[in-house]
Amino acid sequence: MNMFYKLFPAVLNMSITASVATVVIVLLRKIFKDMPKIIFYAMWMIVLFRLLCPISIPSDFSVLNALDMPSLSTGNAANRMEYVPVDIVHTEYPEVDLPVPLVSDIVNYILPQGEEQLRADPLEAPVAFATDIWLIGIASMFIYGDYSFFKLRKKLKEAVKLSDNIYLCDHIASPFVIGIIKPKIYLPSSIDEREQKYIILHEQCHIKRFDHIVKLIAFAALSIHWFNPFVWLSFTLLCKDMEMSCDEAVVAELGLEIRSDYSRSLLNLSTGKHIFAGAPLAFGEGDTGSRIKNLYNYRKPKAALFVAVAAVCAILGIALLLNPDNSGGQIYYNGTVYVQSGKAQSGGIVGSKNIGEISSVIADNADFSENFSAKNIDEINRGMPVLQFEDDPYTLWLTTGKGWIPFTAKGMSYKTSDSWVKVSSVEGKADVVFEVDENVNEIAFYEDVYEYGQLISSSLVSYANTNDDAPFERKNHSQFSIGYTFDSDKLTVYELYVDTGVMVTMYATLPKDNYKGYSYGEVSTDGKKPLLANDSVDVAYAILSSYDDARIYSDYTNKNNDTVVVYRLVTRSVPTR
Amino acid sequence: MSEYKLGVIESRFAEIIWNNEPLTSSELAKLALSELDWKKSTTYTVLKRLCDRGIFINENGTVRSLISKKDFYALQSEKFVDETFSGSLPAFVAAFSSRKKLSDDEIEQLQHMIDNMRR
Repeated sequence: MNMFYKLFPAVLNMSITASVATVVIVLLRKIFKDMPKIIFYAMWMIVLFRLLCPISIPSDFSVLNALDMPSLSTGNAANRMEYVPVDIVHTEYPEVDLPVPLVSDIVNYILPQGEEQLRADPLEAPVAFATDIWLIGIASMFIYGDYSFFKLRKKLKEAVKLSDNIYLCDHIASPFVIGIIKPKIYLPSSIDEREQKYIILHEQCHIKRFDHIVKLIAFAALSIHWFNPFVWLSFTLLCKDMEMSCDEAVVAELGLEIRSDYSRSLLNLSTGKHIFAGAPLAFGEGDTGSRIKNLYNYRKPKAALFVAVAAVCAILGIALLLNPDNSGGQIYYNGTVYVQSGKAQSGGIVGSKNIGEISSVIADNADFSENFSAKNIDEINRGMPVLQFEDDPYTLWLTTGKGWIPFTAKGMSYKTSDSWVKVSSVEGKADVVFEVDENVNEIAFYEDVYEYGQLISSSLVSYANTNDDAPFERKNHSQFSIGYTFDSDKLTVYELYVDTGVMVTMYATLPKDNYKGYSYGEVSTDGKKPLLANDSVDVAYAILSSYDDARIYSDYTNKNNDTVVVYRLVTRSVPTR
Repeated sequence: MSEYKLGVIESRFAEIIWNNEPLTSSELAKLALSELDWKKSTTYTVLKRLCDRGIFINENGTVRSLISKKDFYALQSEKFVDETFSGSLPAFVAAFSSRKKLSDDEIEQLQHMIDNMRR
């Protein structure tokens, strides 16, 4: 079901990039309107690529950089654009970032935020509705395409072969090419032989350039993006440029003298209406008037000028093909930043020590660090994950609410946790084992219990320093362990693992079946074992909640949580005497 | 009465009938296959269409014309002059001869026709 909600936002993101490309190409067409149309015809292929391929290669050279658009890494060499969060239905703080800032502001004003988003999934119904309408639209486009194709097919049975792959047929308004592997040219039987010559050349030019396939692909793209007026515009202009560049090729081959004869054939064959028929490549299609004007204005441009314009268009074209590269410092963020360890959507909360570490990394970027350091712990503890960690210990993932962006930070001591917490019922005692910085001389282990967001108890469970004996035990220069045992005679015990190596054992009187426990470990690690820095606070906590996985971002002060048990580890360096 | 207009290929098909009538529909299908490379079903579809227009008739598998070839083309050219030149024959001839010079022979023939009509 999750997939269903992501489908339309994903297509929307492709559609938006393609719209940006369309606007750029329309402008280029206006500026260089006397240039051979083959240039723009080639550029429409970029729009087709953007409409059909969700990913592209990230580069600083992207046009989208100029608009400061958000891209999202897929973890590979390619990334994809995310103006609208793909999983908008299940995002706690959904936010869009469109190429038109005013529209973004309006949409963001309307979008439900935070708890409202988490409780009733208010976006689920509108997104589902939009997705349904969209799918119905696609079906209609395909039915229309098939219908006009089969209607035409029926008519073409009466066609008579003229030569090779050329056929004459009564009652067709204009010539066209049909077929994919062995395309055939159909000519209206009413055209005279002199006209036939031009038209056959024109159609053969289409076949040589695989225009009949391009048009099929373009129609498929139009069918998927039918809701976007920019795509209709680009489809229309693509067809026009396809025809005009073909006209130009014929004139270039036969000489400028044939223009008037050729124009007359165009006029004879003008269908008078635009056919968006799914398959055929009609010759008469496209605005006859502007095609004749184009032919009339057509003269071979000076080679140098043509090369210059083609080069400008090619460079812009490449820039339109590439996605912006948001890794490495190009981050502008205006909200709260949260840090968590763990992969994917696992939630987490950062303790105070991490801010220093993260901000020191992010300090390379002025925009970021400014906003970051302005935030206090309370805001950070609200629980929306913004930074998380990839398998690679040196890759941080950062989100600004618009999608995840890899953020390279050398020397980070964070490490991934592979999976969720493991919940199992155990009886008896359990240990919490931490590795600590060699300067740590004192560890305090607190247990705080929250109910419905209220702190109802806080107790020091265990305290140890290097001068004590067990349970605080210094194994070597850099490792302590702390043992924590509790009485489980009357209680159900849940053992929660966080794969950083933090193991939290907690107990509850709540019936296990009705509640789920989540452990949020936030501990820096070195290798597999958690590493507690000196003078730090680390928090691992478990939520017992009747809510499902969608609510995992809730923090322990969220009043929707039934019971949350929070374990706090405080380390201190006591001056050694 | 635009139904009287035939496409170029329909005309070729109609010619086959006019030149061979009366003929059975299966004979017609064979002829259409050899001359137009049409499938039997296509032949029947087009035949049905032309019968519906009242040009031919198919009675118990025998195909005959209801309008002779000469009458049909006379009707068609009349229709054409009506539609395109508001029924003015001189306008038609003027348009025809503006692009393509009439030969002496053709002028002679036309003169002859006019003389005949005067009488």
